[in-house]
Amino acid sequence: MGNTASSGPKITPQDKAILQLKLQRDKLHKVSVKIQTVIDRETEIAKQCVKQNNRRKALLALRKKKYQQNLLSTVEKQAETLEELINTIEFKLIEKDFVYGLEQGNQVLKQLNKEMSIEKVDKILDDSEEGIRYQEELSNRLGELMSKSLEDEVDLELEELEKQERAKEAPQKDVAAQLPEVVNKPLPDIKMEQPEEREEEQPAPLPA
Amino acid sequence: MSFKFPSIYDFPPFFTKQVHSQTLETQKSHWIQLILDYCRFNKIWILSLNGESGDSTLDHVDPEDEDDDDDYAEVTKQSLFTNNKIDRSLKSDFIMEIYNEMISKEKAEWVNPKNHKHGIIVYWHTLEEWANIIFEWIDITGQSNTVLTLYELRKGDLAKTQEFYGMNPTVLIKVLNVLVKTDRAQIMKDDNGKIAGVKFSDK
Repeated sequence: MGNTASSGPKITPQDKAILQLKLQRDKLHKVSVKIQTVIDRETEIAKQCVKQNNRRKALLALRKKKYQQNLLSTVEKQAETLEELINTIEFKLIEKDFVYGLEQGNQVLKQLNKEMSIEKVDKILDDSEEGIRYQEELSNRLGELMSKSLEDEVDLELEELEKQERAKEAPQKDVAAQLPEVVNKPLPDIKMEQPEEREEEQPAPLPA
Repeated sequence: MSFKFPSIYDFPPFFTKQVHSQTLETQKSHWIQLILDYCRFNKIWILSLNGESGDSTLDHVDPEDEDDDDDYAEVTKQSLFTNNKIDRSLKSDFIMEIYNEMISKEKAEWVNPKNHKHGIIVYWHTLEEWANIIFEWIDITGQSNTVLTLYELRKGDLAKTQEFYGMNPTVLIKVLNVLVKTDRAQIMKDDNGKIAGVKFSDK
């Protein structure tokens, strides 16, 4: 229907069905408006006829009105049913989206779980353990291959490197080195001795 | 509540085409403003050549809405271009001149460009403004991506308090076309190929 030209929202077959239902509902609404007009008019006529003492005509108008009122309630009921149907459909569409969303989420979750299967994780852990073992094995073998003197040389080189490292840190340590050493032994127990001395002194005056 | 006319409306020379060109310009711009205000207040979408609401011929009046009814009665009884109080009215050629000026200023449009007797569509909002108003309303009321009938937009219970409520169908279709062109809506046709519904996008 020439809807292809623009890139606005897509019209689905469901949309078309809903439109049809809504058009029907609009029609019913228009009919009910029309019936209401007739009812009002008949009421007016009945009132006028009563004023003019024309009972028969008034009765006729009221009867017509009653008939229209019945019709109106039928129409309104139908409109209500349609409205309900429309609401149900629109809600079902939302539910469909909801289920679709759930499904999508579930799939992603499943895929992620598949990628992180226990066997795979175990295998990765095993692999890395093997790697470590291989590394150890390798250094052991290398150690065996070398003679004692070479081994000593390697140790010496390591020591040299360590010394250099320490020398780099030394300037900071120098300041600390120049300071006197912190006394680290417990303070002399002078307080403990003094009271004893006083105690010794105090009794002295007594005999005097 | 009825429309409150500006004081100039009771000033007799306002109804006579002024000779002095500058005065004439002012007079015309006052008339245009008055027409826009008047139509906006009375929700007149189509103004006939003699300044009456031309809606009744194209759009049946909703009898349920009594206020609307009163407005229509009042509007159709009396023309905007006739002031009975001071016994003055505008001459039709001057009305045409004002209408043409409105059209050139994009405040109005002939209902039928080939036949001017159907009067003008009055734009107190431009079509683009109307498009924005409706789209905004659809957005904040969560009606994006649902199908709406034109009737629902014009006369629906949800739209009752909106400025576009009761919009003339011809005008509404023009507004919707603006939305379609800017990818904000898709028009849906019924089995007879008549535009019957619209689906708004949610962007």
